[in-house]
Amino acid sequence: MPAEELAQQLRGRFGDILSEPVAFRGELTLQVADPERIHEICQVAKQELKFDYLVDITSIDNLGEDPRFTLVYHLYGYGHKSYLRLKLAVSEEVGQVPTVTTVWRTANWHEREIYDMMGIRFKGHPDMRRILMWEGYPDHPLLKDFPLSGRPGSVPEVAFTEKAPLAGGPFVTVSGVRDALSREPRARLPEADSEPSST
Amino acid sequence: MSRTSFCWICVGLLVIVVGGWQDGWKKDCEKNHKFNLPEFWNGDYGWRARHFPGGAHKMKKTTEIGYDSRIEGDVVYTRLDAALNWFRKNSLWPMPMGLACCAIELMGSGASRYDISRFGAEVMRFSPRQSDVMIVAGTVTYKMALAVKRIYDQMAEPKYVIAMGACASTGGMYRSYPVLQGIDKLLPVDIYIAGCPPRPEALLDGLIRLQQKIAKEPVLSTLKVA
Repeated sequence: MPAEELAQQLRGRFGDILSEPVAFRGELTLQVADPERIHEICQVAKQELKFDYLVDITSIDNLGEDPRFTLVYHLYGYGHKSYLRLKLAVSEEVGQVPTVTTVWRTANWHEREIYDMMGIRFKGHPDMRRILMWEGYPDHPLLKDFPLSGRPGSVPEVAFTEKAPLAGGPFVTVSGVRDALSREPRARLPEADSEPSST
Repeated sequence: MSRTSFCWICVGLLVIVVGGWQDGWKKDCEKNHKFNLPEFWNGDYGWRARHFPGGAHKMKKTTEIGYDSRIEGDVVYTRLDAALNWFRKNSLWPMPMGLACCAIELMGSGASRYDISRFGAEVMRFSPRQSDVMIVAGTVTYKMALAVKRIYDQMAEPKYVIAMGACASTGGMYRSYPVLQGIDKLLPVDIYIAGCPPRPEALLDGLIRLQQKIAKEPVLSTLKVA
């Protein structure tokens, strides 16, 4: 069963909140208008449309836009071998969406990672703790306004952090240029950082 | 008035000399002739028998007490500090703090090709209480730094730290928020090893340099007297 047909079936159930599927390089994306009903949509996608595998949940920080965050759910069905992508916009003020751990248990760690890195909370999550940074770390480091070198002295008594010396960095590789000399790692200019590094 | 006077010291010396000459004379005679001294000389009576029950002529010339050079070789004279350091530096048991790719090189150093046991450091102890040197091999994140510190604190003195590779020494290429910029911000590092990751030869060189450092350390003067 092709992905197009599955996407249309899903739209038949939730036509009021799902956008027209957008195809890009053979993969379909559905925009979800109401983040509160993501659990319901996923339940149907798994039970009826046999999307039995949650590949990943990612989050995007669109700093300066409203709503600020975008959550992306990648679904896959081992039976019909089709991918489907669901996107939903989450504003910074709301900052939370219902969990899908009751649909796919693997969503547990994905959602913990999103909470750790971007600070988006998941309602009904069984274990809403940080997964990568240590307990008590105050920041969500994958936000666009978080400096790469970190913030100094985040948690006294628990752990110490200092700003990492960037030494003219961060160094980035320029893609799409012809020769290796211009492709090699270059320092990104300090004014591009929201918080310039100390060194 | 005649007065006979003796110097008793001279008389004593004369007795000893004559006795020695008699011994030599007896030996010389025994070489050439079968010759037996009268019984009172070696017999089992008199003061010789009382004082040397085994017979004076059967008494052993040396007595073996404790150290036997024929079994144990020559005696080495040294300072106690040097001896203690010698013990320490040749059995450095590492605490392998393998955190990243440097740990692979650490494993290579322990395997047969590079064979860290040539320097007495092959006994990788995964218990901090049994280890002497912590080899921090890899990137230390702030989250892991708490555990590294805790393990270091559990190690018994004397303890040493080798920062293996660029990450453990300075943070390496990870100039970013989660990475501790060098384990020396947390622990007293004895030896830094450059490389990303260092080859096993570099680790062995670092180990030898640590041994040289240990050999110069004072031991007894640092001990506390209760």
